[in-house]
Amino acid sequence: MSQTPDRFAELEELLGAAREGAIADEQMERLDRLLATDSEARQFYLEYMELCSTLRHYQGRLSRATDGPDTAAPPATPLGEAEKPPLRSRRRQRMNWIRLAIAATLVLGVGLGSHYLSRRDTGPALADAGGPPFVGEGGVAVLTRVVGAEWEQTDSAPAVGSALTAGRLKLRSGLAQLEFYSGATVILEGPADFELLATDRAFCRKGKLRAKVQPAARGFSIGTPKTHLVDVGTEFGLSVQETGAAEVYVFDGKVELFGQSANPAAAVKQEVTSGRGVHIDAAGVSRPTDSKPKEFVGVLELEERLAREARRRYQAWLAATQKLRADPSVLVYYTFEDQQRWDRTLRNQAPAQQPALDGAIVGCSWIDGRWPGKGALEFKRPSDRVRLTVPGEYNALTWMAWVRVDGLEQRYNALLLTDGFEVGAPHWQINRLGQIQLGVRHSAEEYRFYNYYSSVVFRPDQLGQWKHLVTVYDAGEGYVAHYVNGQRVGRKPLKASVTLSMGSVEIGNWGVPLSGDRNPVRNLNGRMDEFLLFDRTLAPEEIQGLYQAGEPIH
Amino acid sequence: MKLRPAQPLIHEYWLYISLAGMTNVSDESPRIDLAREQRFLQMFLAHERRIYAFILALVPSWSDADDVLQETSAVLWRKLDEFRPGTDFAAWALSIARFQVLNYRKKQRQNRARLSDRTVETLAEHITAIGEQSDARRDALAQCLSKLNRRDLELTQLRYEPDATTQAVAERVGRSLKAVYKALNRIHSQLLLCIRQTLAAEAIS
Repeated sequence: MSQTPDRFAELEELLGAAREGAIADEQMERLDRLLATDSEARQFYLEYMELCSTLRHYQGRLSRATDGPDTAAPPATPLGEAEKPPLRSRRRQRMNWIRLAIAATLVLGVGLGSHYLSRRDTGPALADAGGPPFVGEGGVAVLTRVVGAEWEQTDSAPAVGSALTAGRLKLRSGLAQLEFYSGATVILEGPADFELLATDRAFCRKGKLRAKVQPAARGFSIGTPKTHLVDVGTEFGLSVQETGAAEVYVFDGKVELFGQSANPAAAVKQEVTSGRGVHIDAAGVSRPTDSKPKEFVGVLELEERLAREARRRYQAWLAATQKLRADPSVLVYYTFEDQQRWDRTLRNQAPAQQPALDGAIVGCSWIDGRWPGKGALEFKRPSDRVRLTVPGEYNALTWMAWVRVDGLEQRYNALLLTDGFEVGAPHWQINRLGQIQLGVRHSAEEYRFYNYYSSVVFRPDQLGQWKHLVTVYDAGEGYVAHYVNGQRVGRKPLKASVTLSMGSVEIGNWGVPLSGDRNPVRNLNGRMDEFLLFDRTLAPEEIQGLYQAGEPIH
Repeated sequence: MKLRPAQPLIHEYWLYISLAGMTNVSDESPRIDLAREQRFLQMFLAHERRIYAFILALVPSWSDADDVLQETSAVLWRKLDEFRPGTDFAAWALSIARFQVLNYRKKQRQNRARLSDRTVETLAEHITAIGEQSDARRDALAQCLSKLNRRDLELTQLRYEPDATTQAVAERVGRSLKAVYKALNRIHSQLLLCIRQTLAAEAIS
């Protein structure tokens, strides 16, 4: 047999497919032939499978501290609420195997006499392979406030609280406040075309902005088509026209203005000091001007507008709650409103208003919700929880909550979990990957349950944002669907049709973990300021409407 | 040395249920020998990883391997009296696991592609050597993981979360499915290479 990287690439492809549980019939035949005839391939295969088993066993968290016999730790009551084997990919991948073969050559070194993996002269150091950053990595600024912001990119519009990586922001209208990691704050007024370059650099093609630069951020600079500004003081306004003509006004401190060049050192320098303005025309010629500071929205004004907008949204939401309070399909409705800060009872606002469905608040503190003054509960400590008892059996249920998740420290982070995990019990939670999952136990005989997952909706850069979560369970139609902010993020057919029953449940925690479960701690880290439980399914339009009625800031 | 608990694949809860079920087959008052169960669990969990690796190599599919592992654990428990203390539990368990694999293959749908009988036999013969290195390989892997760059380590950990699919990992890290799949292929190969080098270096020194 030829000893070429191609052969290795082929084996790697076959093993990758096997690893993913997506090996095709013809691939299996090919693998079989290789294993039967090629002893090196066989050895590689056996080592590969052993590696996968060990990684799975330790869930990839094998550290040197784990060294030692498997038993050295007392058998760790290992019951995980993990569905069957994870390693099954939904799609078979079509890979560019030629490129992979090249990569394999690089891994192995060229010109090895043999084979799949043989020893290299170099030590076992592994190369740091670059690749694009993960989400949440390489942020340069954070979007902290918006008022009536309409973004050009509607599908990937940045959310308040999200980290922004270098790139272009097109604000059609409204206001947006960006806080650069270097310590500079920029209030952008739409329409604006603004590009984040680095933690201390930006470029404005068009639009109006006001920048406040703290001492720690000295040297923060903004380029425009005709000029380059370096802030050495504290606060300035900048307005750039479509033509490239621009105006700069310095409210406080000093700004250095450079002529048309990206390279400040080579350009003509001009200083603009406090209370002065400069106009630069489309040709790049500058002259002093009487600028009007009021034309630039400052932090205070933004704050006022924001407060007005928040009050408006809050009132609109309050009005919308009236309809829900009258909906007979609502079993539990916690608005977290009209409650005293010392209240330990979360009052059910559902039409029947059964006091039995009031929640008992344990530990959680009252805190602001989506808007200033809106009540919410904060879940932080492992003891924080809201307990209630939901009687009855249901063929359909819909859970809805407005939640701000601040972290996903646990493998499973509770939204609403029943005590234990009896047959018919639903477990509504978020896993460490950031998926919403509804787990339903369907059999008493063995520890049998199915999990129904959403796509990943809590990436690291999406923590700390208010989100509208809805999960629908329908035994009749036989599906589970998840929605986030009105959009469907998963719909799965039921693997077993089960009538749900809950009994004693907890919001934000797992009151009575199953004895022997290896993930008994599931407390939520975040806030909740609205919770609903319907004994019916909700249509997508209805969910969209509920989301819009409660959107924190439009 | 501080030890992190191993994460056995068999749910101990499931084992207890099965054991309890098997212990209660007669109408007599259940004679649950707790010490016996404890002893069995200890031995089983100590070798579970190796037994699983053995099964997976022969099957080779995660879900099939999980089923065979469950059956194997039940048979081991049933036949525990045949095991002579002081002899090699792993060897005994693997011989039963091998038999369970053959059983399972017989029950499998015939039209589904799978490894041939001959290949399975050959693999089973050659797997012992790797199994015997199990602990050394695991320790080498721990070292090799610590040499991965942060991103690769994170990818690996996310991928081996119990709920993970490659698709979900791709969504989580904001990269394409293909890129993550490729990266995982590369990381697995790197780890294998590194384990080989580590073991070879240890053999020399």
